[in-house]
Amino acid sequence: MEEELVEQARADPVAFGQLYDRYVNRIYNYIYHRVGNQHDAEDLTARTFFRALSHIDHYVDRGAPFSAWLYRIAHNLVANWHRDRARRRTIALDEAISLMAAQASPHDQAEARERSEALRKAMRKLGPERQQLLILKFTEGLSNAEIGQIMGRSEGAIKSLYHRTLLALQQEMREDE
Amino acid sequence: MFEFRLAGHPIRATRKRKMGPAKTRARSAIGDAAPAMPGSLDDALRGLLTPVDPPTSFRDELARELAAVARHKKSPQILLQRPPDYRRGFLIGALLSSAVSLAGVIAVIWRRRAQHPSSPPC
Repeated sequence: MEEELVEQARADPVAFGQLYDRYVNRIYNYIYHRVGNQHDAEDLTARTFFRALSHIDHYVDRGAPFSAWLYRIAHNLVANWHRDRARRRTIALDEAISLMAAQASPHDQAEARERSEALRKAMRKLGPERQQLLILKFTEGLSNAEIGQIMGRSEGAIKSLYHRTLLALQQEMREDE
Repeated sequence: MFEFRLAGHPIRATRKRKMGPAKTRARSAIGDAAPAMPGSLDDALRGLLTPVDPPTSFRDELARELAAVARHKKSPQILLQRPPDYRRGFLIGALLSSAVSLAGVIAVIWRRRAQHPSSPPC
């Protein structure tokens, strides 16, 4: 089904809209968690799909899902974005945290906010691949095998990377002490 | 102190906390500066990385812009394919008309010779 959609989009760019409808939420979600604010997430999501549309003729199906190709485009754009903005402040994830804590007591909210802030800071210090892994795992709910397809690694390598990522998170939080 | 647990691998991460309300102070009194992080690190990450959908207005606007670019991308291909067809048509037409003209001239000459087979020069 997906292969047919990709073939249609290659032959007729107007058919690309179906692929867009299918993946826009996932790509936006991924980018949002990588950049931490709505404005840049929208800008980079738009760039991802424009780039995909202009390069779909060169897309080669190597057995991985089409989403893997989109995630790679998004990943590269986010990497460039981070490179261009070495010193940057991001606060938008706080909105998500406050939404999560909205039903708790003020004291619990404060605690939850502080914990989340510490974790978020630690996560921001991780390398791009590790951040990508966490986002795909937790926001997309993808399995190690699926993440491996997107990141071009084996399932075992992803499992190992995930474990090292959690250890690195702990290390970052210790250093923030 | 925040405490996270990996599956089967308890891990600790310490972090300074400001003295909070009564609950925190009570714990500090027994030597624990802050409450333990409830749940595992997995749970904490799951709570932090909640799915976020794009605003509908942005989504719709981007869909329109992509559709416009897609239509634009599609149309130049048709224009690029036309010139070779025209050129070939012109060439064939020119060859045919040249052949017809030549055939006409030959026919006229042939007819004249047939009407005046051997008129000697005066």
